[in-house]
Parts: sequence; structure tokens; C-alpha cells
Amino acid sequence: MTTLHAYLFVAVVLFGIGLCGLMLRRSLIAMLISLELMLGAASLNVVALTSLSGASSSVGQVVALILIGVAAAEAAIALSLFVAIQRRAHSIDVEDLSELKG
Amino acid sequence: MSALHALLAGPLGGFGATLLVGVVGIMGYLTFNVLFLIWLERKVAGHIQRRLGPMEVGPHGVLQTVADMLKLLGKQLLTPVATDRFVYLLAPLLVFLPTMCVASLIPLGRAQAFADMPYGLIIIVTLSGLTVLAIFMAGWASNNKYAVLGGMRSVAQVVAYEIPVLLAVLSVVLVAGTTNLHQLVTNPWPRLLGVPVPYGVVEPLAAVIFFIGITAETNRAPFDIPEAESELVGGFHTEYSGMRFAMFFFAEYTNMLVLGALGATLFLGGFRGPFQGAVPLLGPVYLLLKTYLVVFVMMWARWTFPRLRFDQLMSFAWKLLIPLALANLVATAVVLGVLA
Amino acid sequence: MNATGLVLGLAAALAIVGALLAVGLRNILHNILGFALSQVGLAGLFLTLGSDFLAVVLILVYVGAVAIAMVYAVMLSHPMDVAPVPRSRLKTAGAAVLALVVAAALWLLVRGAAFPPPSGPLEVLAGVTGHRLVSDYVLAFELISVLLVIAMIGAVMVARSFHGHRARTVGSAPAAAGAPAADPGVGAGEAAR
Repeated sequence: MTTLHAYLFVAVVLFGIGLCGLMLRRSLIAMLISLELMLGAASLNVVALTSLSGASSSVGQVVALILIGVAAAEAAIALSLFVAIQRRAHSIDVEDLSELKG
Repeated sequence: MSALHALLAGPLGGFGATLLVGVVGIMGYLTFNVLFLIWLERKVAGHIQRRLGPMEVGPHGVLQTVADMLKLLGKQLLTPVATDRFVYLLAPLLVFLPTMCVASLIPLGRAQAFADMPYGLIIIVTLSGLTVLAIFMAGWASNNKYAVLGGMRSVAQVVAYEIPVLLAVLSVVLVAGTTNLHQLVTNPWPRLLGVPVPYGVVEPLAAVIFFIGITAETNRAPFDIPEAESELVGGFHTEYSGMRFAMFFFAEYTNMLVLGALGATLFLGGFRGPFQGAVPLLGPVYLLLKTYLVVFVMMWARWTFPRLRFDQLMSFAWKLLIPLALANLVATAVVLGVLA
Repeated sequence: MNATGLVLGLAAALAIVGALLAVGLRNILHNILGFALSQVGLAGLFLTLGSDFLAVVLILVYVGAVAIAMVYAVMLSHPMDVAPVPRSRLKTAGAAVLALVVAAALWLLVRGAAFPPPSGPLEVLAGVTGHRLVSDYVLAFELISVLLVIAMIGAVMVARSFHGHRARTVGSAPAAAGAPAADPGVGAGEAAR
């Protein structure tokens, strides 16, 4: 296993854990955490691949920085939505948020 | 110090010896500093209120804090029931960690292995934002509503005041053209009317904003809402006793010193001073003098101004300090662009 | 094992253990702390890749800002005294198996691919990245700044508007909304006026 594969393995494991959490958890905040873990795995992948293979590494860093920016914006919006949902429905458990269910 | 370093370099290797001497030296100094600062605080408070402060233990009470520390060491450690035990025990340790790291990054003189990092300033800003997580953990894990409220107030306050501090630091970075703290000090200073002056003179607004911001970040009066005794018992450390409580105290005073040193490095020229080039040992002396000057002004403010109300505190940060800091940053950029 | 390998192993372990804590524990605050730990590990991994600036930014944004924002959202929205609903075994097993399958598929894909060696020297200087960010990728950079402004305004608008229940100011919104209405601490604060 090369060094590159070690990084990719960690990224895959992180992605898997995030995916598992996204399916398992019912709290919206916990789901957001899982999503952020998956995004982290993706940026690790990009940085590792551009540093240890192929293109120049500064491209990977730019991509990762943009990813962090997008994830921060996403987290801000998501968290404020959770607060608004909690005020409206008095719960942020996804199984309680079933207003549209017939 | 260098003899000790040479002695240790044999078994540990050069880097290991540097690390050991650095860590032990910094820890020892910080412990001494906390004892000194608490004594100083009580003396300053006393004299501002026209009394003497501690006078009993040692000449002018200099050993008072040593006695207090021994008392705290001997106190029983109480853990309330239904705490979140792991987080409760972790918080007093974690509150201290970022401050320790920051302390090692402040350049003391000519050459210092730890301080010579390309993004030293950004690392310091990053680390000093982490203390708040530990404070929140303490408030949360105590299972006490006053502690939780104190923790929440602390989080809101530190997040709000971190932004103006960052913007103020950024304007200095713009002027200096580097985020390496060592270079920031040793680079030629900007010239005002032909005289080289420290960054604080060309960025006075940033210096004031930075000072207000660090006072708030260390949760000190007039911004000490997180531990307002009259309304929140003791704030986030209500449920901590003995040495665990002392750790929070320790962290607070160390934080004061470290942020004061950062302010001295950024705005007052750090370890630079007359004859420092010829006598390198003067570097740390100058830095400490400037640092304690900043710390003294913080104490002065604490015992002079009344405590702000929480909403005043927040609107002060969001409506006044942040726009001012932003305007200052833009103005700095424009002036630099015109001059270049 | 050399020093870099040691740091790599340690950082990878931190990232994975943190992620497991973030997903596996039932207490939401522990999840957030696990998430912060995981991001510290991820920053360590970036450090071993020579991307020290990225590592610092990651900690600044995720541990210093996102984790704290999450803590705040928990305070504002999570009923803490409600006992957690027990998880169904079937659902846990299903989620784990599905995640495992996806991860295994990804790993097979990654392992089978041929990666060319780096074409040039490692450009790890933040200065190079910064120049790229404001030259080649300036559009993305500007879009990010616009996105962040929109996100900020959106977050404020979403969190404050609710049935005429308006927070007084943007700045005091967390304070006003943060404390439950009948809280003695706030009551004392109000009385102190």
C-alpha cells in the first residue's frame, strides 16, 4: 500500500462512517455532522490526490478551500433552518417532521 | 538555559532538547506569571479603591497567592451528581491547552524555534478561538443551569468579539506584509514623517479595537458577563472546586498574559527596543515590559468601568466594533494602495 | 517508521475515532465534540500532506466556528431532558451494511485505479495557492464570497422570522433567543437594569 493509498483509505473510511450516520441518525444536527464528515473525506481525497499524484498541489488546495467555504455556508444555513424548524414543529427529529405525510 | 540545552542534547537529540527546555521553561514561567498576576490584580484593585490590598503574607503580600494556591491544592474535589463526567473532567484540562500552544508561539527574541512559523499569526488566532469550546464544555457538563447560561453567554461573546480582533490583526498584517510573527517584529517599521514607528502608531484604531476585543475574549470586566457573580453565581465554573477551579483561573490569567503579549508584539513592537540588537537578552525583557503594560491597562479597565449588560455587550460588538474594524481594514488597504 | 508516518497514523486514528464518536454516541454534545476531534485529525492529515495553511483554515472554520455554531443550535433546539428513543437493531445493521458496501465499492474503485506520479514539484506554499485563488480561480473565489454573504443574510432571516416573534436586533438575536423565556438567569439580568 503506497502512501497515497493510505490517505485514500482514510478518506473512504470517513466517508463510510458519515454515510452510516446519515442513514442511522434521526436528529437533524447529527445528520449535518455526518454530512460534514463526508465533505471532509472528499476534501481529503482531493488534497491527497493532487499532492501525491498528477496535477499541481495548489489546485487541490484551492478546491479544498472552496469546499470549506461552501460547507461553512451550508452549515450556517442548515443550523438556522433547524432553529426555525424547532420553533415551528417543536422537534428536530426527522421522524416527527412529517407534516406532508398523507 | 543554553548549558542545560547542551546537557540534554546528548540523550535526546537537538530537537528533543529544544522541545523539553521550551515546554518546561514556558510551563514554569506561566505558573509564576499566574501567581504574580493574581497578586498584581489584587494590589491594583486595592489601590484603585483606595485600600492596600493583601498585606499579610510576605512583604506587601507577595506570597498571598502562593498561600491561596496551597489552600486550593488541599481542597476537596467535589463532583456534583448527574454530571457528564468525562466532559466535566476534560474541560479544565482542555481550557488550558490552546493558551499553552499560543504562549510558545510568541517570539521572545532573535531566534526561537517555535515562533518562526510562516502563518504564526493565523495559528495563534485559530488556537485562541478554541478556548471557548472548553468553557462551553465546562458549563454544559456541570448540569447546572447557571453554568450552562454562563457557558452560552461566553460562546456568544467570544464569537462576537473574535471578528473585530481578527479584522484588527488583518489590518496590521496588511501593513506589515507578513503573518510570520518573527518577521513582523524584525521587518523595517513603517515610517511616519521619516521616523520608524511601531504598527500601533500607524494603526491606532486597530490597536484600540484589538485591546477591547481581547478584554472581551478573556471574559474580563467590563465584559465579564459569563461569570457575573451577581446573576449567575459563578458562571461556567460554578460547579468546579479546588484545583479544577484553579485550572480555570490559571487559564484566564495565562490568556491575559498571552493575548497581552500578542498585542505587544503586533502593536508595540514586540521584543524590539533600544540596544536590543547589541544585547539580545534585552529582547524578552522588552517584550515582558510591554506585555505587562497591556495587562496592567486591562486591570485598570476592570476596576474602573462598570459591567455592561449582555445586550449592550452584543450590540457594541456587532453594531460598532465590527463595522469600525471593517472600515479600518478597507481604509488601510486603500491607503496602502495609494502609497504603493 | 519515520516521523511523518507516525504523524500520519496518529492523525488518521484521530480522524476515524472522532468520526466514530460523532456518529455512534447518543448524546448530541458528545457527537459535536467527536466531530471537532475528527476535524483536528483531518487537519493533521493535511499537515502531513504539506498543506499547513489548509490545516489551519480547517481548524479555524470547523472547530472554531462550525462546531460552536452547532453547539448553539443544540442549545436553541434540542430538548435535553428527553430520553433517547432506542434504536432498532435492524435499522442500525442495515445502515452499517449499506455504508460498508458503498465504502468497499469505493475502495475497490480507488485501489484498482492507476495514479500517475506527481507531474511537478510539490507547491505547498500558501502564497502560490493564494495567487491561484485570485488569478486562475478568481470567479470561484468571488462566488464563494457572494455565497457567504447570502448565507449570512439568509441565516439571520430564517432564524429570526417566526409568527411576529421577532428578535430585537441581529446582534442580540442569539442572546434573546438563546435563553428560555422563564429563565432565572435572564430574569436577574433584566432586573439588574
